[in-house]
Amino acid sequence: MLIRLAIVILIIAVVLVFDAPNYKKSNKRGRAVYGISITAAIYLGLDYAAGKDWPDLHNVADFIFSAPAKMITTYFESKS
Amino acid sequence: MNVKETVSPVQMSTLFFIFMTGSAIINIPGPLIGFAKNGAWLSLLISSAFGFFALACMLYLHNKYPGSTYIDYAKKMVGPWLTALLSVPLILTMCHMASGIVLDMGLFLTTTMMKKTPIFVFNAFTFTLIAFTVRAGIEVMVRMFTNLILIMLFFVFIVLLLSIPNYHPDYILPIMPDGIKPVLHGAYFSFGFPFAESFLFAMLLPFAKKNPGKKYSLNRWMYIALLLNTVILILSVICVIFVAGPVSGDVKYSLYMVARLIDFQDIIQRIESVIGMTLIAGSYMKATVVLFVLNLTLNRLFALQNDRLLIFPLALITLFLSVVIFDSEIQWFDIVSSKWPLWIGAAGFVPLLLLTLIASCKQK
Repeated sequence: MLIRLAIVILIIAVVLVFDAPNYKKSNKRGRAVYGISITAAIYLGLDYAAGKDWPDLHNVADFIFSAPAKMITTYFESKS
Repeated sequence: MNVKETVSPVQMSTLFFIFMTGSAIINIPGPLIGFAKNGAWLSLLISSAFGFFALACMLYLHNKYPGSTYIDYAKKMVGPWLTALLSVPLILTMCHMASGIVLDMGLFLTTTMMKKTPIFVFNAFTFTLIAFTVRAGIEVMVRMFTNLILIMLFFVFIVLLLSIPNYHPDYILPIMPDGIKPVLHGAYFSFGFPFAESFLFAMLLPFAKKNPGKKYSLNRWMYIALLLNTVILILSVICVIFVAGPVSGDVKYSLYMVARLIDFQDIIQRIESVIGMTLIAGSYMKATVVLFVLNLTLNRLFALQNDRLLIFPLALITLFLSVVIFDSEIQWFDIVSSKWPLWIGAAGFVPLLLLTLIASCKQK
């Protein structure tokens, strides 16, 4: 876990340093969107480092699409 | 929208062809034959009809709102708030798509060649390359990808040609031994990957240069690209069935398996690595287009001044997503084969259809 955390911190730090000049030139809206994106990246990075399977996109997709997808595939797999 | 970079209609249609064929040619045949058996080529015909329909909608909207992306004309038609609402599933879908494409590539490498290497290594290097390619812009992307796709297709055709001694044309019969349902199941799967994904090009069509002398040249070239994509996918599926017959559906990377069987005069053997190369190249190109469109969507939605600001954060998001969304092969296959067609249909295909209907009603 520590190695993964170190890699995540390193990668995010590199990206922040690389983007710092562009970030400084941006307006409020750009900075807000950038901040939200980096927050999402940090969350997912920590999820990867911890390896605990925190809620992510697939949980949302499972909630919405599991039942109808199962109905469709069951229909296709049933004998005619 | 002021588009600084432009590409010719032929280049745009080449990019479209690359996007549709790039990773599909390697990933599609195995699972599709697993669902539809010998009727897999019929499934492709059915799902490609939806692809042509989606393309027709995109080109209609592009011609009605020249120079505008999907987000721009959605804002004009339904207002900014409803556009933002429609964009949320679209953005999440594109994040998943980019992650899934690179994850597939990483899974291929870790299951067939480098089994002890963590998948994160492959995904990280791939996303780094993708991010820098997106930063370079669409003109650079198209020029580079044109060369790559020609090399890819060359290798695929060489593999299909050298496999002729292994073909058993009788394996294609019977075509529908279990009725129409397996064929429809295959059509459902191939609708999700790759045909429904074509809606992304609603964001890219404004980059195509207008040629005043040839009013419909973009339309014609785009249809040709999709037709070529359909023909090549059908050809590869039929060739895989000719070689492996009933077991084709049990092998995930069936073209890789076909390449393994080639033994020409004891000289040309074990050339499956070229298929590995085509998978990596195809996945890289497709994921680059997806990340480019994702970045463009967010830029248009929030009217950002700097169109390169979000590239690296988005690459980070999709990189980490690609390693956390994968729990097991079974779970991943279930998502790709049963949930993804519904997901992309709801997030991309249906809103495109709705906007087309609204635009045609407004015209009347």
